[in-house]
Amino acid sequence: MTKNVILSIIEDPYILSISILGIIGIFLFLILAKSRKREPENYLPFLLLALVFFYENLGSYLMVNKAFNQKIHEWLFDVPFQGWNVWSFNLFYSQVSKVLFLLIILNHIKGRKLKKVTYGLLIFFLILCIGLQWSGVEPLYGIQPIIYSIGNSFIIFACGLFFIDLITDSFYLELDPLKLWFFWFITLTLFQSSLVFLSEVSFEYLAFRNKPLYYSLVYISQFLYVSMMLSIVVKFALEKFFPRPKTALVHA
Amino acid sequence: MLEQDNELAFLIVSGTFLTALMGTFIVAMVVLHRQRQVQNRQKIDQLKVEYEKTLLNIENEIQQETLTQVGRELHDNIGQLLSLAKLNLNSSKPEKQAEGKDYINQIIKEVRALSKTLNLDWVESITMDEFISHQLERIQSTGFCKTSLDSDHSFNQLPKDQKLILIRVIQECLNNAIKHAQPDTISIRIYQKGSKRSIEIKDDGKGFDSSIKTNGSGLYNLSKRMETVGGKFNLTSVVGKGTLITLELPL
Repeated sequence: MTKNVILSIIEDPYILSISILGIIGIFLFLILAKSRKREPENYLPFLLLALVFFYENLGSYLMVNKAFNQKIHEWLFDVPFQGWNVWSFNLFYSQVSKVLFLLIILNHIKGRKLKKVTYGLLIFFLILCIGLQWSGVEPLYGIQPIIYSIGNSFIIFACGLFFIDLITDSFYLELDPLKLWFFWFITLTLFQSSLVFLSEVSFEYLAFRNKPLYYSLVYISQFLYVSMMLSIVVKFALEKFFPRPKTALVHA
Repeated sequence: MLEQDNELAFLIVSGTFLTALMGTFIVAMVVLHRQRQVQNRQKIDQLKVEYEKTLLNIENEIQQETLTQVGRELHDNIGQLLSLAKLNLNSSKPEKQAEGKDYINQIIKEVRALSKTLNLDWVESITMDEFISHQLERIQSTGFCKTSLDSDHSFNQLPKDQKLILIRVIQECLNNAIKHAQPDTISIRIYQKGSKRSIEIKDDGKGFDSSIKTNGSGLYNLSKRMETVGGKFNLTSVVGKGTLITLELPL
């Protein structure tokens, strides 16, 4: 069983990259100074990295260990098990990771009004997720197109707010954006979310009429996702090996 | 095989397109950011120049006022004391001569006190509460009107430049009240609320319709001066009910 799980991870370059980056990132975060770990600037990306590492590997494991998958499914839901692990994707990728993305963006917005709007998006998204699942409109074990597309749109919108803040807030106007890790992270997030949004909107057309294009969009979005995780690992490595003064680090 | 080739071609084309798009986006963001940065720096420089100009004007005004006061003091007080001292010292009576010496001592004290007001060092040594209290005492001592001060001392820790500007603004507000309002009472309240601290200058004089715009630049200048130190100037006035001026500074 373990061999099969490891094989399934090694065979998929995306999951393999996420696993390697996850291990390195978690290790780097753990060896950071305590004061640095407590900063949202560090622990939010860490939570995201750890979450992605966890759910991607969990997904692979559930696909191999069907019995365990069925056990969890039966424990969580009253509907018959059909061999999917979509609940893990829905819960961790479509919901928790989107909340973490919004929190990371929120943490880097300085303008009061823009911060309020982003906070509003976050609260609205949480209420929407709970409401749609609670009411049974989009149960956790099924496909959740509304939550998925709204999550992506909110992230795209929040990224837009961040870029507005970047060119208007006097705090960011004193800094060089190319030297800010979150500038790269949020740019990648914007493009990844836009790409996923586009491929989801055009899924039915692409899946039946233009499969190669659909797969290329999926591969590119996976590549961007790996790049985002890589940017987090690089950030932790820089924090550890080239620490900057605390004030500069918190803001830049 | 053909499908795989197709997939690869699509991957390369869409990957290149996305990379180009991302590159354009990043370059555009950086260019936009740089432009804004330059504009922001120009704005900051302009504000600095304006701030320094305001400060210089205020220093000039305070010095001018001080010189007028010194002239008045020399003529009305020290001049009189010197005449009295001269009269007494010219007398042959020993008690008159002693009185004359007392006058001389008093003159020395007065001249020392006066010399201290000639430069602006007093601004650093005096707290806002002390300054306002002196100003109100001065007004009350002339019998013009009653005054009162209620303070939680939240303005006592201020940098010299900010203090100078506030002193001038308060002086101007008090002068306006004396000149135009004919109040029975002028009261000042200093307090802190949340992240702001305020000075409220209230009189129960004639008041005026604050919605009518005047040609004078007095109130505009006061507002501008408060802005240079990151503060706000608010005025509300009702005919027959007096005027309330609030000077706000962030903590």
